Amino acid sequence: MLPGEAVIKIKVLSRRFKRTWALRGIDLEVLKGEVFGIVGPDGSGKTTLMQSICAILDPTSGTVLVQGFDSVSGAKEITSMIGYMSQAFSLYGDLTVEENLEFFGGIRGIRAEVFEKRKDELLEFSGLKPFLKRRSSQLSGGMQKKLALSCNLMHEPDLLVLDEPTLGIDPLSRRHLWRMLKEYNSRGKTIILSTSYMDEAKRCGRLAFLLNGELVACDRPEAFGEDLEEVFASRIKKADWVRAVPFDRKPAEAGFVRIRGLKKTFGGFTAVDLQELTVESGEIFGLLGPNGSGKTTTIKVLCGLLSPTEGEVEVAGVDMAKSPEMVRGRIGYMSQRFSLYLDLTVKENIDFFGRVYGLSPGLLDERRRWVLDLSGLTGFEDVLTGELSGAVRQRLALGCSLLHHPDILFLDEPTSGIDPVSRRAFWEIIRLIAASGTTVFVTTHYISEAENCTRVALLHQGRILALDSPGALKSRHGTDSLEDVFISVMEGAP
Amino acid sequence: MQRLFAATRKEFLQFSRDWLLIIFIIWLYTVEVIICTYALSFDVRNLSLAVYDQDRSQISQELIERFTVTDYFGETVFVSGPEEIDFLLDSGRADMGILIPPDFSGAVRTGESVEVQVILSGVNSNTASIARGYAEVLITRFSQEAAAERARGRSDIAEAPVVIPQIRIWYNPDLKFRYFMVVSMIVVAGVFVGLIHAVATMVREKETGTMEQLILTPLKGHELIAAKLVPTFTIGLLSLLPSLGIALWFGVPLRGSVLLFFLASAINLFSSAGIGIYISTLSRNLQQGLLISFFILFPMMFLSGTMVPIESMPMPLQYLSYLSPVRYYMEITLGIFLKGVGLSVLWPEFLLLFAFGAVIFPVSLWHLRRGIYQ
Repeated sequence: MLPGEAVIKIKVLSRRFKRTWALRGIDLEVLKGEVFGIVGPDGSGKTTLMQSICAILDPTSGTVLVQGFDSVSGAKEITSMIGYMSQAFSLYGDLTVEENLEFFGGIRGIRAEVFEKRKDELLEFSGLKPFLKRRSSQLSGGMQKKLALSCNLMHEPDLLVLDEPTLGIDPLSRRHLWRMLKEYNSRGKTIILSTSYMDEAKRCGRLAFLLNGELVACDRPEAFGEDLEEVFASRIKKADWVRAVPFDRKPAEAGFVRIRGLKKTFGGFTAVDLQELTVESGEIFGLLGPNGSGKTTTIKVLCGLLSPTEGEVEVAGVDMAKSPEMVRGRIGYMSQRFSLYLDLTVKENIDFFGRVYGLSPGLLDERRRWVLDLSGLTGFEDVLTGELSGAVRQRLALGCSLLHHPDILFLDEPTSGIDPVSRRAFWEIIRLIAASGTTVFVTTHYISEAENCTRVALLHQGRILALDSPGALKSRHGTDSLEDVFISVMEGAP
Repeated sequence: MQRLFAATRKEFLQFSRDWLLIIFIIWLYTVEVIICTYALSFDVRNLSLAVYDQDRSQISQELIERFTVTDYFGETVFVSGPEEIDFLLDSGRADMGILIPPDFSGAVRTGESVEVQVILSGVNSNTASIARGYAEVLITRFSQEAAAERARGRSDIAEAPVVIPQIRIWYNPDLKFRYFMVVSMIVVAGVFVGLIHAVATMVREKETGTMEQLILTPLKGHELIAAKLVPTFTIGLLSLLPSLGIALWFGVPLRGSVLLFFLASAINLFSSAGIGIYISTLSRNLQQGLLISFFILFPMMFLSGTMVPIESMPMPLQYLSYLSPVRYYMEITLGIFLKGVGLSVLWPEFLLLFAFGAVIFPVSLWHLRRGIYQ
């Protein structure tokens, strides 16, 4: 096959799930050797498109041809020549790095001598060589992704399909992963990937922009314009974001947090070791750091989900070592994992949390209206939460964690996997909440989001390496990008 | 109170949407009871006979009829050689073979000693020993009556003394294993539902991450558990109604108080759910939870007298059976159904069954809290 020839030919592809159309009349060609990006808001059909290409989903109508094979009649041939890494792709946590590679090599039927050679190459390539005998569950998130990618490269597929491959990993690991992808691409292999990072979208050869299951545009990133995020935002019908937050201002000392000599150890491993940290009411305090740097552990200790091993932790006037339960009802918490009941309707979720927080029926009515507004779900009160798209659910979860107007709000990667436009709206709300005097603690992998924080702490192996306002950090490192600050601090770390 | 109400409401909503679970529970209390009662019935009936009658007399016919008129024996095949009996037993087409010698009728008439050979398939030792009992009784009675007949023939004056034992079996006069089986399956269903449902509903909160969310609300641990138990109790007690219908249909006598039975079932659900909640504090996901559940459920069942009578277990296991709450629920249920006794007799079992739950609940609650603030 000649370079530049179409590897994938999609003709008027439509796909329906029950009554909803996930894809509508897609016409698309992907050329050999391309890095092809798929972008679009949540629920726009990115995953459905990729699974249709991988012959996992059959088209409702239209055709998908991969290297000349039809995705229905030639499904077997297609699966044997592609590598597909879904968002949920998981390694066997109990197996070591080597055993995982052996397993994925084995199911692809790779001969022993070829396997050994490729294994060495991939280990070199991914930087996983020192961890050969380590169980994959004990690797950091970034390394797990690299291993997952390696497992999918084992059989050297001509076509690599990756669904949000860099979701939930830190900027440094993200860079490594992209280096792996570019290197694989340079061997003439085709890569299709979806992403919600606009800087990654810019690195693709061509971009397909999906909206409500339709292909809105397909072109080189430069053709879209300078600020991709702005371009996409303007295309999406803007939700009517709530401007007013129906909360009274908090007294100045309500959301005060002080940490002194905090240590949290698991067995012999020190997850968090923070000397001195004070956060004032109304601050938006960002915790940044690579996977496994102790961000989540810190938040859990501050919430009272984990008890500190030593040191003083004072949250909203409560000593967390002594009586963590005193803080309940005064804080809001939104974890990485989705924290609503998927088998309850929107209204039932709101009402449950409202009542548990002890809201009076009148107040609950008022706040429910606000949360529905906030999540754009007015009129959809009786829809099961499990049927909502990721971004909408996340907004509903945020609303539910704000029902009782907490003194302190803890957000653990609240925007993970959400499209840029929804993310931006999310931060608008967070700023409004903070303006009413609520302290906000937030962890994120989107370093650009950290610009919204009043102060950020860069964590590495449980310790704070840098702590200041985003502006001060940037000027100290002589750069205008917080991501550069992050990478230079992390690379300089011991 | 508002919190407890809100949590209970939520549990009911979630429960009512989990159709698979509801069907599973109702199935356990109904279809499972029927299937197990039929399938696991150890009552021996309709055994097939292979008869090699070399005598072919009226007297030998009478002996064979003794067997065939009972419910215990069904199909009878007459064969023309001992090797055919072998074949029928080997192929499983006969359960018992009877060989009647050629001079049988003569010997019976003169009172000479004569041997009737009974061959049993011992593949199922339980069936074989019961069938053997039947055969012994039938043949002994036949020879006694024959002896009495002869005695009458010789002198019309004296009746030959024949001792016939009068045995009365209480509670279950026909010794129907079915009664026992129905009751035992209802007990098992109650324990299963109480335990598994508690595990599932608690672990699900952990798996979905909503548990962390709940911990940070003012909802207290005991309020959460109480709310979770309400649907378990409701379905667990409502399902007893069809179960009772099935029991009546099988002809199981219900001699005691229905209300008392419901009370016992409620206490059982309380104790079983207590164990379930405890298991849920030990498990991180549903798979683990179910694995531990079965690990605990099986010994609990085996040591409860629902499968095998406790009296026939070795002594150490009999002592161990006091640790199984199912034992008390089983004794109470048997007592109420078959013996018709009430609290005046069953109070120790009631107390022990309740005590089990009363101990395990605080322990689970403590574990639940400790698990959070590790």
